[in-house]
Amino acid sequence: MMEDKITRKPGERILIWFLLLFSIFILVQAFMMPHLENLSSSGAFPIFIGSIMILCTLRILWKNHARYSAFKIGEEFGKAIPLVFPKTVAIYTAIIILYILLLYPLHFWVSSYLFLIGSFLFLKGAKIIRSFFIAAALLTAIYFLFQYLFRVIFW
Amino acid sequence: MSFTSLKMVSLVALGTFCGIYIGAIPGLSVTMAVSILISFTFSWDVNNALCLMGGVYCGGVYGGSRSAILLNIPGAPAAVATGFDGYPLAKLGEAGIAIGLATTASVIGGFLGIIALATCAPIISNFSLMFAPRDYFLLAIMGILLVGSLSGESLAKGIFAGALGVFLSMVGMDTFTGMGRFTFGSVGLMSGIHFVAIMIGLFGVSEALVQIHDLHIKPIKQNVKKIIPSWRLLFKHLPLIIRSALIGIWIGALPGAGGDIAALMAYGHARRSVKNPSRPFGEGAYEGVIAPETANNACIGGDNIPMLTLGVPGDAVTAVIIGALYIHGLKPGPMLMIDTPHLFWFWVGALTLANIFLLIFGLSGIKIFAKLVEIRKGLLFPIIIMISVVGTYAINNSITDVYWMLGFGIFGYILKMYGFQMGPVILGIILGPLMEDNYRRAMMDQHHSIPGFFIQLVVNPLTLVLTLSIVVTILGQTQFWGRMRGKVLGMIRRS
Repeated sequence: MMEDKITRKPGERILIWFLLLFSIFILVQAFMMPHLENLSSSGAFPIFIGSIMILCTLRILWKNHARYSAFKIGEEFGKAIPLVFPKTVAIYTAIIILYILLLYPLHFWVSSYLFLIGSFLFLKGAKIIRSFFIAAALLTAIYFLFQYLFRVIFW
Repeated sequence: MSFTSLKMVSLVALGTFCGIYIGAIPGLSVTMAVSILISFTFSWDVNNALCLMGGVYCGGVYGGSRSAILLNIPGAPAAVATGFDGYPLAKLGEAGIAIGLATTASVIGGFLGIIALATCAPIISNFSLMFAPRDYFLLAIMGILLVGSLSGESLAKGIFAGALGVFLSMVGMDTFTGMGRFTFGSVGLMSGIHFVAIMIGLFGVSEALVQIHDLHIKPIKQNVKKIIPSWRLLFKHLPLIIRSALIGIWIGALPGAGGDIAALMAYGHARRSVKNPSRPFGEGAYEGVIAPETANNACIGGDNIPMLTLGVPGDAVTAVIIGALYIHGLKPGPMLMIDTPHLFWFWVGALTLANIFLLIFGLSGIKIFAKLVEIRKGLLFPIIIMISVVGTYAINNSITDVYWMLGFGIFGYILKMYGFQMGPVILGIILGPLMEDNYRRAMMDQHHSIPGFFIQLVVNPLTLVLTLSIVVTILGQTQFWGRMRGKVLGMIRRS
């Protein structure tokens, strides 16, 4: 199979195991669906899909077994975090989560303004004063564009 | 309303203009743009929405070539092959000629693709009326399999991604029985997870997070001079343009294969067939720019054939466009041409207009373009995230959709980091209901008999062709097939 070409990345085994458990969960849920009396019932197709997902993850685990065993689980976890969530990505993901959580309590305009300024400064897109102006200009443009052209109702 | 009315023409022009820049800016993709656009345009009249999306689609596929030539960073997967010779041309001081050739080749390819769409789609649509539910079931499987096998590093990962998409499409109320599936008792989940929220998460947020890894890469400025290629140069390469367009149309018409595959295949074809290229391939051959650019734009017409006639998307972008058509109450498939033939011709007209604007915008405004392409990612990504949030919220005016979008954005990012492609997930979400409904109908036809179902797969000639295509696609990825192929080729060479 083409798995031979995969570049081994630490953490892949953990992800595949997680996906396998998730697939098993889907299959169990599918079997628990009522009225599984025939092959066109509500649960039949989910069972088929769940089984395919399990087979795929097992195939990946089996095919890459040798490469996966190059790391111990603890060591792999330690290496995976900086690979998938290096400092910049981890902090920026946290900023995005915070922005979305604050959307409701702070209202769209305030939270978006703070998010844009924070992001511009963190990602070095613009300096402090310019960030304030760019964020304000962008939000004004977005207000007119989306309110009048796309008719989006902001909250 | 006719597509030639001023409003429609303006919308196509706006879409094409924006599409070129979206496609050209590394980190922004056509799929991302169309996904976000759906959420904003779903309250629009279907014609207006189609005009804007058609423009963004055509412009975006072409736009990727600009950054591939100028920065050696393909703006879209379909432009990867363009960079092989486009960037060396730019380094030789011929960036203008490379852009000019890419534009004219794209426009000619685009027109040939549209001609193929206009002539073949009605025929295929009539033919597809003969399709039984089992054939649609097989077609949907074939689409996901092809995307899974062609778009990533591993077939198993591709199939898993497709199956994940199908699973996501099943969350909510079962359309046959009205029973909730995977809802865990939540009333909110009974209507399912809105696929636009998933699409924006997978293509908007996750792509932005992936791109943050390369925040430090600075674009190299290029000097762009003469841009319009000579007639002599174009006529000389006309046979290659036609051949590449045919490759693009053919690849596009295969369910699941898109512009990136078409461009790479056309590039390979040019390398094999052009005996005396202007320069060696990889060192700035004009043919290395013309072939992939013609093919990826011709692919648009090809992609639309299975999308409009069978309801099976050609690639991730057409999967997203199918989603848009569903939102507007249309059902792509054989009945689209019967119930609403005017919409088909409207779409063909919008794509034709988009190609005309592609020529105009493609050969002008290079200096503004060069500035825009150099826009800092630190400015770009926060804007993408914010627009993704607004777009997702706009679907149902629901903050829950925004949470889903964020969740899928982060999940999609992790999957991407480990080589899972997002194209099959989207295809799975769009094709899931088609696949399941037709599977269940096929089973009911056979009175739930498994042997009866499998016998039907080989008895009917059309079904047999589809079954064999799926078997060959799976077998083609196995070591056994590779070994057999090696042995046969070895025997041929020896004999």
